[in-house]
Amino acid sequence: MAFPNVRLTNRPLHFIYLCDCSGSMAAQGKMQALNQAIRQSLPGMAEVARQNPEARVLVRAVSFADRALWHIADPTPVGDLNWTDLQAGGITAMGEALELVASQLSSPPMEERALPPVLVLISDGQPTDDFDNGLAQLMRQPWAQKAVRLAIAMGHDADLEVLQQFIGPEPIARLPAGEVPGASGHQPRSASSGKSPRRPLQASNATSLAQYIQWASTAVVGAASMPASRLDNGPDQGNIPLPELPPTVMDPTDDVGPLVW
Amino acid sequence: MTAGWNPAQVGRVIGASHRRQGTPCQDAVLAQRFLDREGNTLELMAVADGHGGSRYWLSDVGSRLACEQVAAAITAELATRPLSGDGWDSWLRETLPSMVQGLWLTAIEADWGTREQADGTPLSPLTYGTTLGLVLMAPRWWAVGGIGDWDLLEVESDGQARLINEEADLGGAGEATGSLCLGEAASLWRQRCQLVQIAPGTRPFSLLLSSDGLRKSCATDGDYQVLGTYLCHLEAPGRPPDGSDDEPVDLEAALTRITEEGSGDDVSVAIGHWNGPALDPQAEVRSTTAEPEVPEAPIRSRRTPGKASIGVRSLAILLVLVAVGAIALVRGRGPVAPDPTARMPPQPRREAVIGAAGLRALQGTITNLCRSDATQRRAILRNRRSQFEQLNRDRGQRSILIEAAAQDPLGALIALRQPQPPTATAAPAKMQPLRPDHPLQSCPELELELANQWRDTTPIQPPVHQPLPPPLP
Repeated sequence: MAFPNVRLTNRPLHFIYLCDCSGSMAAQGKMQALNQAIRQSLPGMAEVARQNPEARVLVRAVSFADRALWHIADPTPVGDLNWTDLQAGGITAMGEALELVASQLSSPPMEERALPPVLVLISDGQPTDDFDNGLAQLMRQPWAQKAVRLAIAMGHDADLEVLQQFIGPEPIARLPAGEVPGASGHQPRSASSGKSPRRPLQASNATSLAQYIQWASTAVVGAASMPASRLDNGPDQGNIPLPELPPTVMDPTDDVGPLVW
Repeated sequence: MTAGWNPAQVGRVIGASHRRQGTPCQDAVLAQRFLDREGNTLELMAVADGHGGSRYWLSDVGSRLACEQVAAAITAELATRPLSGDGWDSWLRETLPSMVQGLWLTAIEADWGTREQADGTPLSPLTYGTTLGLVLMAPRWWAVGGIGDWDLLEVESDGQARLINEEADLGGAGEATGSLCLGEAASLWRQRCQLVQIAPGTRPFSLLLSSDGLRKSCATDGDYQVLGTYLCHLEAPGRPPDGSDDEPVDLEAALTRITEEGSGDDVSVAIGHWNGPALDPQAEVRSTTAEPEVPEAPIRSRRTPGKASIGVRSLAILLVLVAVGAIALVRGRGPVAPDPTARMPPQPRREAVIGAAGLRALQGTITNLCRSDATQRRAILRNRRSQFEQLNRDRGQRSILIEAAAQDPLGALIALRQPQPPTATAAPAKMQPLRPDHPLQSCPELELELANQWRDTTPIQPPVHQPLPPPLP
């Protein structure tokens, strides 16, 4: 018998940037730094995609200021991506941005066999619209619940609380995921100290921003591309085992560059 | 081909991504035959899929041990409980899950103790984390259970495939799945338990147990069902060649292609075949009448085809059809408006009835066949060559097959599409209109293949094939 005419396919991995383009991003070169960081990350992201042919990395981007708009509307293979600079100006319609993404995370248009999407929210301020409603709409989508949700706070004016809400609950003390109670003698680990990608990543300058963007677009994409069953890791572990953060985050004293934001 | 179950066939390939990264295959697969004290055979097939990632760095060992512990548990049980005895359903649901998990925890602890890395470090079961799915095949029943993201497909002898057991969405987590290392493993396992009684006369069917790498390699579940049907046919012993000039493909080569062109994950499958007696409608009627229903309370029961099974209980919902029925021909890909000028071809006056269940089954078969590629469609119909020939010899079989549409929808379809004998008169057929909400819809590709099969199996002068009429308004 001939092999049947079925559609065998690698699995799409949707990577979506949600970029704050409010007026404050024009200050201190933040907008320029963000454009530069994303543009510079693309070759590395393309290389990770090339190394993981079982995942089809597709990139989109939403900009939000007075309104939320698709900056890259079509899921675009990373190798075909040309980054057009975002422009700053306006207020911070972050809730609307989440609604926009939510509309694309239903099935369809999401594919049955997609890998968990990666959503990266980057902001330097506070939402000026109904963030809670936007987040609620987003989290009603099963694909948003399955997604790897990361947040990068640019500078110290960013609203860490809303970014944390986007990511999900903060890490809590518990036994390792999947542990049979009493089987290993492990004590519940404390999550009260140390940095975690399950918290907003604070970029205080262009260099650390670039490192975070690079990390999200390469290490995280690589981890999300891996075809493997995993345990339900629980809210403190996220939907995939996230790779270690870049050194600037693990040890703030190693941070590169001056504190400018 | 022997009656009953064939020994299960298994196949396993390392995922394309794992091969590239130099990581081991984390899947394990097992097929084993057991004998009880009375000499009855029990076939076991199991697949286990170790979790990926550095946290689960011994999950390839964990998956192998999981399969082995299932075999150990069954060996122990068969030493005391014959397959003809009662209580298997309860044992499979209530006892086996925790027994296997306990044996597995003991086994991984023993393995951990042999490793240098242990060195006083307490064992973390998630290091060995794995899924586990198993199917047991006994003379009068088969059963499934386990934990994790494996799938079970049932493929009927006519090529119809159904996904009959899958993991419920655990909610939230991306690629999350249940695991033997979870504290609630036994509870999750019980949710997947299913025991199916096999009634006398049940037609051949196959069961395809697979790790998630198979289904996730397919764009849709429709593709997965077609692929599963193909894999079952590859491994079905005694299946005649389909006569095509296609290249031979073995199971491992097919699985390799699946992982390379698909998800890149490890792929393992285990396939069981039930070789029931061929359908003989008359014999089945006698058999069904004489044989009491299989007792106990199966979750689901395979029914024997025959008049008795489609009798009085469904009369209230029967739709009456003249023998040829009415099938709305879809021209192109979508439904089309009925053609008011179309008329039924002349038919014998023997009326046949199809129940609502029969109509549903018929439509399901037609839909599946329309979705299949041409090679598969042809192969599926060729497998029914004896049915075509039997109908040619005895048109009286036609109404019997049509009435048994719920049990053998493909047979009913073949009978419905039997062309007129060339000498038939042009007397108009009686026909009750189909309910508007139950139109049967076919496709030109299937109609053409049916016509070809009828042409090829009709001995003398090939009759002109009449196109299927549209539903009456």
